Amino acid sequence: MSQLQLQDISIAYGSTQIIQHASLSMQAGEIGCFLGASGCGKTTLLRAIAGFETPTSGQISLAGNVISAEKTHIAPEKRHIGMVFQDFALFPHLTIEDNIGFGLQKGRKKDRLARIQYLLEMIELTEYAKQYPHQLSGGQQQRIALARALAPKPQLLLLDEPFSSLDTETRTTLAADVRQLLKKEQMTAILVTHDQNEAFTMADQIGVLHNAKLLQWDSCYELYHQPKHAYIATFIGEGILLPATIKQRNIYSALGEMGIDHEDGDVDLLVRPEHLQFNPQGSIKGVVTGKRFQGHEYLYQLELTDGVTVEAHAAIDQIHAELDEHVCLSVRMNDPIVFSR
Amino acid sequence: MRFSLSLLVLIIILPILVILAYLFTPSSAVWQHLYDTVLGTYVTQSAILMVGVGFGSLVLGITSAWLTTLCDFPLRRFFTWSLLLPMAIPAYIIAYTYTGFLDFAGPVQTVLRELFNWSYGDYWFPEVRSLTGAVIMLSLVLYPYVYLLARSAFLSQADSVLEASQSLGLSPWQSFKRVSLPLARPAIIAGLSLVMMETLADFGTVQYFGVDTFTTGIYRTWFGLDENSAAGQLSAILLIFVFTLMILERWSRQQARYHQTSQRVQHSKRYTLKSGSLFSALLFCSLLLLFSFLIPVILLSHWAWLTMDQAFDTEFLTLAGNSLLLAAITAITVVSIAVLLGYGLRIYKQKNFAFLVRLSTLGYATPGVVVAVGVMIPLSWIDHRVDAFMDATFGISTGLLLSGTIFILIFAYTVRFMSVALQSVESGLSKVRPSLDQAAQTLGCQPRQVLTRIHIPIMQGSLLTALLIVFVDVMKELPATLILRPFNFNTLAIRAYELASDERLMEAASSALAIVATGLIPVLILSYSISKQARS
Amino acid sequence: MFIRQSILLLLCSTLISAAVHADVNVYSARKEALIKPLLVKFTEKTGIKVNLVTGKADTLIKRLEHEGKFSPADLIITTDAGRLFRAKSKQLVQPMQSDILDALIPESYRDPEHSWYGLSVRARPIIYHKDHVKPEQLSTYEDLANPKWKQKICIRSSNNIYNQSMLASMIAASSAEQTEQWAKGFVKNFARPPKGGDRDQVKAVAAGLCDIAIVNTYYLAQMQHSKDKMQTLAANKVAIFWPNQNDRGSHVNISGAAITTSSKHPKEALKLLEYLAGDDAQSWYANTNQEYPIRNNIKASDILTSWGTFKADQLNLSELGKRNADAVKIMDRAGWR
Repeated sequence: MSQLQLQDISIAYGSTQIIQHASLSMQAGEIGCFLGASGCGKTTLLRAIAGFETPTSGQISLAGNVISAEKTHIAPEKRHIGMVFQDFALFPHLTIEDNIGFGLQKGRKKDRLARIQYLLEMIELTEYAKQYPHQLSGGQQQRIALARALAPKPQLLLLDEPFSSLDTETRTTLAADVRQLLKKEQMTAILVTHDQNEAFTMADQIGVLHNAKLLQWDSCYELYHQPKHAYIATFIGEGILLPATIKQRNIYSALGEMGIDHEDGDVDLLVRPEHLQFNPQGSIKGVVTGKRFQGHEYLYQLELTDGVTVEAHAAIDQIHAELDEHVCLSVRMNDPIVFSR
Repeated sequence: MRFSLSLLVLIIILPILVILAYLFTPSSAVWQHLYDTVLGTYVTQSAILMVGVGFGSLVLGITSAWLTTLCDFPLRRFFTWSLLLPMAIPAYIIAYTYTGFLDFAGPVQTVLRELFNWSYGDYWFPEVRSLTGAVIMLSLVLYPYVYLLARSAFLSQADSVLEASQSLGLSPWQSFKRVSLPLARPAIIAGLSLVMMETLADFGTVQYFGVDTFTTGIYRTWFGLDENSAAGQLSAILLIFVFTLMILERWSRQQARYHQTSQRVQHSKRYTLKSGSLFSALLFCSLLLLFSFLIPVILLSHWAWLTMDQAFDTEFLTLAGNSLLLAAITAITVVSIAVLLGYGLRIYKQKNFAFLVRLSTLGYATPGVVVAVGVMIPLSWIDHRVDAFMDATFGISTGLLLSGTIFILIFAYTVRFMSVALQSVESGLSKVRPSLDQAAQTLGCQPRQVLTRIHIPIMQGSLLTALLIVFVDVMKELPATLILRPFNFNTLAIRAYELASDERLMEAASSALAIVATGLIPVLILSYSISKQARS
Repeated sequence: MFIRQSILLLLCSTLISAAVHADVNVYSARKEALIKPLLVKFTEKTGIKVNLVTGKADTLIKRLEHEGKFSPADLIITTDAGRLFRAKSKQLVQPMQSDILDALIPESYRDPEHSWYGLSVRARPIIYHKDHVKPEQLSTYEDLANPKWKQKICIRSSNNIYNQSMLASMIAASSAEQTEQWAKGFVKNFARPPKGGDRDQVKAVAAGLCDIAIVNTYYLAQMQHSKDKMQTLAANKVAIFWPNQNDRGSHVNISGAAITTSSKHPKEALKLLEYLAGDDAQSWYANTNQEYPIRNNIKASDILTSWGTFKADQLNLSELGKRNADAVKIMDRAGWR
């Protein structure tokens, strides 16, 4: 049985569709992620799961119980769903330990204190227990917000852009830490972010949202290698779409002719930088129009003879092409990915 | 919860609805008479009064707030709290004192005449009891509302914003005009709207000064001419006017809703004033304090001293006790309701409910006499119905359960001062980010618990402010108290009024002084909390 | 939370109203200081407790109206006959049977139908600056519309009931048209827009701002008595002129009282009323508040006596109430603020 299930969820404000027909399912202990540019509806979907938005149609179940449906709307405070907010939303009038203990209303005092102590140790902030939120750094506040949300052992944890207000360095390390922590707690969680790296670091399953639609709900690998939508193909990783035509199991494009198992028609061919190699014997000719240093390699932008621009990697010690230099390339593409026009 | 809140709002706006209902009664013949004779005067005098007092309190309030928050000069700390003191003086009392002080037969003019051997007509002296006089009197005691709100707005502006403006080459004056002032605009407008409402509702001052405003006109039509429906219609027109103003005010605030972009709010740095500007700042603050507080209080003290033997009797203590008790009960009631309504507005984002709540704040701009009538009509109606019902079913006559009791008085105050409390509560609530509510909810809090565990503790400061402002306002309130109070229940304001209106200003001084003194307690607490907040 | 508070408040207020029951309840337009001492004496004498609410007559009448038959008030005291008339015409007060009152109080100072009785007399003569005006120049109220007084007259606002009643008495003596004519001329003679109370008019005359004013005598008497040196000085610069001595007499008004229709204790209320008309109370009015006693056989205060006797307008004062609305409208039209 899945821990969380969304069936055909749509959300609208008046006539504006925010989410259309989103469905997904998550197993217990899995970490999911809603990934998308701002305004794609990812936060709204998350808030609908939390209970702060009411879907116009569809059904949400948590651990087998329907928490939102046509005529059911369980109040947020009764859903046992924890949430970490973008601004952390720490209670400014409470100390760190009181913040963490806020959701622990029931049970014996001893148990509550033990739980707080456990979480403080887990986030390594034991010595700050008596301090107030404003006395702590952003990263520390973030961890407290997480501990606070985890304290009542929710059935699901939602994280709304949890790292967006932190600096890049803290962000990456913290994302890994948080994943480890969630795994240790065997917490089912959903993260909302616009940052792919964060998504890849944290999540087992990622849903890409675009224009109010949940385009694909899959693992990172599948999203990269088997994107089901042109938007995902270019959004995840680097890559461009080349116009191409398929005729009788052959695909014709600026890259020449390749075999493909696909019906005939005009399509877009996904070309990622790793598909192209610098090769003096290569049949594809291009001019270097841009060059970006990436540590162990360069990412080149190349304009092909018929005007399209593609990208290709080259190791530092391999090729040194200057701007406006003419180069030759070859293609290596085992299973071309195309999208019908 | 939603239902009972709506019911609560309906009860509070009942008197206002009663007044508005007069619009639907047939207009009486007296309208033509009013229109031909006095209506034009009422409208123009009220308009001039509002514009004048609005302008006056803006200038005084903003300047003093800016000087005491963003500049540094000797005695700044002292002025920070002392400039709030005039809040404790009711407008009618400052009017009494300045009249006694500056009138033709008053000490100032008499001394002038004796010094220069002038007699009447030889010299020009401004007339206190005039429209201009009323504008000045009201500005002197109402500017603290602007001061208070502008001050806290200036304080909440981050240093970095001001530093940025300085680094962009703005002088203190320019950065005030182009950064501080626009950022503080919503708060200033809120303060201004309080001032406007107080001005419109003022009865004591304008009546004493013989300035015919809409308010005195309503009173005259209602009680003097005994033309209920015409007076009710005049009141309704006033209410509609106020409501339009309120909507404009909210609209303008929504146009300019700024959020702090930086968290760092410390005022380590202030502009250090030198020579000329230092002198002007000191002079401005000193004169303001002198005219708005020191002169009236010294005069009142002097008069109270002269009449001391008769003034401070045992009854005086009873009066003071009544005033304090009434003010305390009302403050707690009003603020509790305001918290419920403010929170209701926050969680039920429903247009209808919001409209009703807006309507409930109309009472503040409604003259006390109008509120009194608006309260009296429905409550005595209810009393009569309840009695008829009880009589018919159980054979018991219940008589007047609500009218003529403390309850009706507190009800009237609630109608009258809801706006003050709600403004404060809403501004407090707006500082609590919505994510805090949601965080608390995801941690299992019911809406009610969110209120008690999150909002109330966080907005303690705003609640204290609300409590104090309502408290002081009730202490000062006169017309409704006069009309509605039960037997043997007098307050300091009533005694002061009775003596002053009997032209016994000197005898009135002790009670007036006591109102000012009791009013000072909360104002001082407020000042203290402000100076503490400024330090921490 | 609110509900609990309201219940508590209700309980408090019921307690307060319960305490009210067995006593005489008074709505008084006389200021507390000018009635309470008498009420205390009455309680001492009879053991009947008196509860008091003061306020303006108009608002007290409005309150009576709304409370209707449940009104706790037994007695209403006003400082003007016009208001008593209004209360009567709204049937808020009831006729009473008291031979004592009928015997004590002159006919023109009580309601022909015994609905109300006057308790003290308040005269409203002309006062003038001793140095600027000779009494020979003065004659009647009517004469004050004469252009010779241009810029010389001070008087308080038309909102004031004393002025309304004075005008009503003039309407009764002549006609609405003539009075309006007079009011227009009178207003033209104002030295300044009306402001302040009667004492302020005295001060203005004393200071030379104007030459004559119309004020109630007790204000002047109190000023002469005042601890404030400025007030005594001012009061001593002016003198009283009794107008219209050759025709209807100077305008007088009364403070008076009536028993409410809703009264639960009319007997006790009547007792109080009779007490207020009695010797003790009458001398108190005279000596403490410098009003003229309603009864001829009670001596006026020394100050009042020093001003001499005068012929008072014999008009039955209920006429003042009947013509109040006309008077107000005339003043509006004449531009008398």
